[in-house]
Amino acid sequence: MERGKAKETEASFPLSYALTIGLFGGIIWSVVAQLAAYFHFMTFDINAIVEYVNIPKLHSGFYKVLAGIIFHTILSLIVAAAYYFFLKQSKTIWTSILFGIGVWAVFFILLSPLFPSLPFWLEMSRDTLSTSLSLFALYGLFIGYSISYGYERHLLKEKRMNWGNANG
Amino acid sequence: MKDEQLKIPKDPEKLDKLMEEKMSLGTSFDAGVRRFTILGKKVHIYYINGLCDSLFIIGILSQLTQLQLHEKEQKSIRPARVIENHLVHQSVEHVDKVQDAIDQVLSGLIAVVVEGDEQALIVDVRSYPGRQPEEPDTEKVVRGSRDGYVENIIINTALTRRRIRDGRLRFEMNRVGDRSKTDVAIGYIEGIADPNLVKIVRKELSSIEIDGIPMADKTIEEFIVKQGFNPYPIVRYTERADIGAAHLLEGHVLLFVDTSPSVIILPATFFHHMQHAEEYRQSPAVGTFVRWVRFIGVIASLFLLPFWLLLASQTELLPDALKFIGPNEETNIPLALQIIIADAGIEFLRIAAIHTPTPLSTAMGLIAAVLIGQIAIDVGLFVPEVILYASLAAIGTYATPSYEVSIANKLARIFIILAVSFFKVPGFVIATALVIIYLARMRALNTPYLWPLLPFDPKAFSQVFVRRAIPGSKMRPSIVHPEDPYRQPNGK
Repeated sequence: MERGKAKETEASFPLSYALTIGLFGGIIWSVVAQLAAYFHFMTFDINAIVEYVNIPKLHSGFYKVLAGIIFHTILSLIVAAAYYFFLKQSKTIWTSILFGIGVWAVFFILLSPLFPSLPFWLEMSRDTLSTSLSLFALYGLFIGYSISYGYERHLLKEKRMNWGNANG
Repeated sequence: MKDEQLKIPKDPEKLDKLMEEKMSLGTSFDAGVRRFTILGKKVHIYYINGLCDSLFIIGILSQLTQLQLHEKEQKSIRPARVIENHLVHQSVEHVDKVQDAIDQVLSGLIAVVVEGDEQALIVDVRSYPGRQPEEPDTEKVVRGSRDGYVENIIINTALTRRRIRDGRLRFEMNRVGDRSKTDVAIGYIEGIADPNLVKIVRKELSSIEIDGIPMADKTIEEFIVKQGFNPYPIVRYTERADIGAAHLLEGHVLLFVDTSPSVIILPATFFHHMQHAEEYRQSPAVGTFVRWVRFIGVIASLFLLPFWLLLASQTELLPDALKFIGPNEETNIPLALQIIIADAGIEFLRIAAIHTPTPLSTAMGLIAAVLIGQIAIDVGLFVPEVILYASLAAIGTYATPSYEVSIANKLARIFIILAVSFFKVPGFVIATALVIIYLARMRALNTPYLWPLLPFDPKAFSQVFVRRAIPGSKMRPSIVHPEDPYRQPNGK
């Protein structure tokens, strides 16, 4: 029992932690995004990507929204993993917010010429632009802050553990 | 020699002079002295009128005065020791500095000074004017204990001790205020509370430099958490002894301030402010339901008005299913202004209701609810929707368990309403994002304010949304870094 515990905390900060955050972040913020789209805050079809899948049932109505949420959640896992590998040491929440805006830039500046379903940022209306930016900033905050905080706590725990070993 | 270090003189007459100078004896009507001769020695008793119990003093005096009868056989012993032995009270202390004696007398204890003895005997005969524990007005419950904290710190710590009879529950007494010398107790359970947190609180308390704290705990809070202009409360207040005890067991630190009926709970996040004793007195399912409804109320108090304003002023945003929303009548005043006026009106009523005598405030509430709203619509000042949504938001405000958070939410709401009225959709989303970022950035004594939402902690978050049965929740919340994480010692 005692050994297992020690092993657990000494192990490096697990990727699964980041993936859990990515999972919940994806679900929560894609639901918020669906709501925003429902009220026409964003005028492009945020679930358009689903139409690449050739299942007609998924192309409209509730199933489309559901498929959209699942798709975004999967993307979110990748985003969380990216944060985990490059930015987890960050201490301030501003990194996380900038990270979110960076993700936004990747989608709407870099990738939008490749995917016709993604609007280019210069063609967005003021509403769409501000809403998508705010959403991504908050999403980045959620992912980044949570992972960094988890990492900070993990380091603290490890430090305490080592300190305890050295003295015991 | 410095004034502070002045020793008590051998002759009580000299002490009288010192007391006249330092304690306004003779000038101030509530300071008094009674002079006796017992066993051939001068004995002076100093007291403050109204803070001590005369019956106790009379009891003690009648013992002392009877001493003269059988004094002869005890010639060999010093009279001062005889007198001390005959002080019939369990709490007698020795003090040898004049300043210390004065502090004690001003707290309501009596100082007995015997000629030839360079010390004062302090007897605790305090009896402060105060009320009995009763149910706090701001935290009522349907079921649950009805005793609340009162203005007396001793009763407050006693009410807490009644619930946790653990020797490790500690109340560390401190004095704050150069002139007021108010008692402030740090309450925590050794072995659960984070020692670092206790250390920080102790340090912050001792570094407070002020003459007095008549506003008691609020002033202490401002010194400890450095609030600035931030409207959101970083500590939680409670007047309920059961809530205080529950938080002690979770590893929080409590601050009891004398003269205040509320105690400070440190640290407290946003979601700590969303809890209510009522949830824990009902079955978990009911508690969860109540909590969800409460969250809806809180969210409504923040976002309902600005969101409706946004949809009403930009009807093309409405999805087809909700096309009926929005003002159906022509308006004379811009909607944003109507909302702000209505909100200010409700605020007037709230402010007025606080200091209006109860019989009048009932009548006033009626006038407000029925007449003002209806007439405002009739004369064309408001559209009916404004009244509806403003009232809903106001009720949401009252459904917030924490009074402090509800008012802070109101300020945030006004900020978002202004943003919406100027910038429409971009205003709404950016203002909302800013409020969330602002809250996430806040730290309450090193605790993230929006935890467990930001940073996200799935387990703790589920406990925020689902009120778990007590036997099922084996762990203390991790956010206060409890030293012993298990609630159920053998249930690991």
